[in-house]
Amino acid sequence: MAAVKRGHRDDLSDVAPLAKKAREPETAEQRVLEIIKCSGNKGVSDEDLIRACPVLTIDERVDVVNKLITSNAITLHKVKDTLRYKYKGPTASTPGDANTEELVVFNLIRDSGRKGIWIRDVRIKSNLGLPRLKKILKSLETKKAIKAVKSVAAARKIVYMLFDLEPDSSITGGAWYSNQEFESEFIEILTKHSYKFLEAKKSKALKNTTIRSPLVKYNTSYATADRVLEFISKTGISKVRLTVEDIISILDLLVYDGLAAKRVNSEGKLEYRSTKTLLSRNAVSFLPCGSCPVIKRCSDANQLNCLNCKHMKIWTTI
Amino acid sequence: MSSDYCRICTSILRDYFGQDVSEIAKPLQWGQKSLMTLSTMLDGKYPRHLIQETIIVLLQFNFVSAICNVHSVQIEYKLNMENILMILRYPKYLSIIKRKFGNQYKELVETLLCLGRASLSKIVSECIKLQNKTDDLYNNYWEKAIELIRNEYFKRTPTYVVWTEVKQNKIFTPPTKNQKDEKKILFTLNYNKFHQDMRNKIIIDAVVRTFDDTIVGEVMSTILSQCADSSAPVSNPISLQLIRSNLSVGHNYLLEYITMIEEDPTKFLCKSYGTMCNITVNFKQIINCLNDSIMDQVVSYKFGESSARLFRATRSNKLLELERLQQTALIPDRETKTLTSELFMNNYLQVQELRKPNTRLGRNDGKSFYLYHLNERQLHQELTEEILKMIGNCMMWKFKTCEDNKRLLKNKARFDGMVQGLQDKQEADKDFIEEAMDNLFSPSERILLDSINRLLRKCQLNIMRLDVCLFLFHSYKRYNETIK
Ligand code: SF4
Repeated sequence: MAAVKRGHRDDLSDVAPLAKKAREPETAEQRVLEIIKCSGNKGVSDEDLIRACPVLTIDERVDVVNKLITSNAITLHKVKDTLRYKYKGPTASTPGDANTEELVVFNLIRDSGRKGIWIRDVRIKSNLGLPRLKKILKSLETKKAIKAVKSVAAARKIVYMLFDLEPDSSITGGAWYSNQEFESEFIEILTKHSYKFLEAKKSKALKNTTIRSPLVKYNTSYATADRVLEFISKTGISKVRLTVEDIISILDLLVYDGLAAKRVNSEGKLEYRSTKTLLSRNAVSFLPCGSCPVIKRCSDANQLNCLNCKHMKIWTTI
Repeated sequence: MSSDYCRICTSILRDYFGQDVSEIAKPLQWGQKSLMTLSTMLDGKYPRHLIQETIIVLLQFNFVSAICNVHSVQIEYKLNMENILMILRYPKYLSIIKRKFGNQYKELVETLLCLGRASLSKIVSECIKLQNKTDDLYNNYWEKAIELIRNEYFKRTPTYVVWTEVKQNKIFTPPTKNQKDEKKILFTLNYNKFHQDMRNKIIIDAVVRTFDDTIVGEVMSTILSQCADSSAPVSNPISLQLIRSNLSVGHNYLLEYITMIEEDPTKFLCKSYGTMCNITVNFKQIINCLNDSIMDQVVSYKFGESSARLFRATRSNKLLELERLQQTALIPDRETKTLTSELFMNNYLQVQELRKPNTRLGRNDGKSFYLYHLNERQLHQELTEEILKMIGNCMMWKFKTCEDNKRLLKNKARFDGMVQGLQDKQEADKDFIEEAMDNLFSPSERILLDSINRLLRKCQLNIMRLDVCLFLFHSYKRYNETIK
């Protein structure tokens, strides 16, 4: 239990204190682990080990390797008829009282990292039957070794990951999701405030009489995302911590809404400025036909024509 | 030609020349025809001389052109629908001239619009007659007309009766007053010049809107006035010196203003950095921006803000998958789906399917990518049709209103004529006219007249507004076709 709570990140430091009070065999364990770790993905064969630490006797070596394998620090791989040891990476300790099946499932889930793993994939990879698998997952969950997280990608999709991991943003959807719910209102408010900020900046720049130069005025009406972020953080609208990227995507929304223009400034940073549309009010919006869904079928030869159209009649009564 | 286009042409002709002319010209919409074929097609509804007369009138206005086919003995007539559509812009032309030069010039242009084509002396004398001016103003008007030619608002046009051509270098050469064959030199309006003015006005307005500064507008208008008339996507280089000498305000910061316009994301101008600072105007870019702006407005009016956001996001990202689209536009998943499908069904978005190649096992795992994108050309085509239809609808209502209140309007016209006559003789007295009005029209009739007037004005106003869209679409098409 305690080991699990410490989580996989503390794992390396977990080994270090041991080294301090180390006696002979334990230092050997350390060294072997170090060698295997350094070999990276290639792994180390038995011969390599002999060459690397000639002081160890066969018995000692076997002892050390076995210990490492049982403590799950290294794994055994067969590459072209020779056995190779590979380092397993920072590993979360398994729950102490786990049986083999649980261990298999737990390892699968651990390997999936912050992205989590789908139950179907667990089943396929572990070759366990669904009822059995469900039971195992349940038991792991009650032990607080793993947790289930709802993914934003699909409403019913649940992924499993280690208990103390922070889900990846592809699972949670980033700042725009809370409890897997898309927060359109939050986005709406943010866009409104950002726009207000840009507007204020522009009108301040235009009204500033101390500056005579139009170019300086124009340039100061632009604001970088950092500035907007600062403003938003100050207002305290957002409970979550927003990143600059989040603000950039919000400001991009303003661009897509036609309320702002963006450019890259001399330092290579994105800048935004509030703008108006190039044309004043749209001509189409003055007539009911502008938003008519059946305009394609409206014709003089038809039952549906402009003279007996209800909307047109209303429009023409003054 | 689409049916909406034809419908409008018929309506315009009916509005301008009356029912008969529009009926006679109708068969010509479907292709050029000889006089003989035309009269058979009209099936004896109209006497031959009336048809002939109509064609002559239309020829005069260049709404019909005569085509002499080598293989056939007969001359065929072709309807120039584009020119007919220009009638919608006449009020605009007049206001341009009035703003730029003044009232007398406007009267001259108005006269020429009524005449279609005429020699300069005819235009001037006709104008004086129409405006009830005295003959001693002849020289005055003549000078003004010459000025209009010099400014390229009037141009020479070839004559038909005695075939004369106009040499390229003489299009804008004014005739001398007592030239022997002055009567044979005919003039018409140079639409291009007017359109250039219209375009410039729109551009200047756009610039002022973007920068919230009227002086930028001045600068832009000075730059535009120095552009040579061409339909090239980028204008001729204009030197800074030239702009400076023509500019009336903002000398001190001229370069800054230009840099400002250049650096804005709209990129209306380009500046060359050399010993000579030259400025070019990116006409194509400007027109494209303006068109995008119209499109966005239409989409947001038709489908709502969120759809407009999706539309714009698709445009700026070119090809987008639905999921990416949702992430860029930050609209809830389900809503994105409904909105995109709505846009797709109305042809505002297109979908490109990218199939995954068959896997090694020989079967497709059924997954394809669907990428959303825009087809600007098709969109333009469709919107043009819609706008034509709207203009047509407005015209239909205009006709209907006039038709329904024919008698009343006729009386009113007669009354107005009378009042005008009295006013000319300076016998009119305001109270007297009021009283006469009260006697001739009942209160309800007067209210009705008022509302009819308002409706007609409303229709006309909207037709003109829609026509600006048409104008921009047309320019867009021209710029994007000349590139190829
Ligand atoms: S007249 Fe009526 S039916 Fe026809 S396009 Fe306009 S609104 Fe639609």
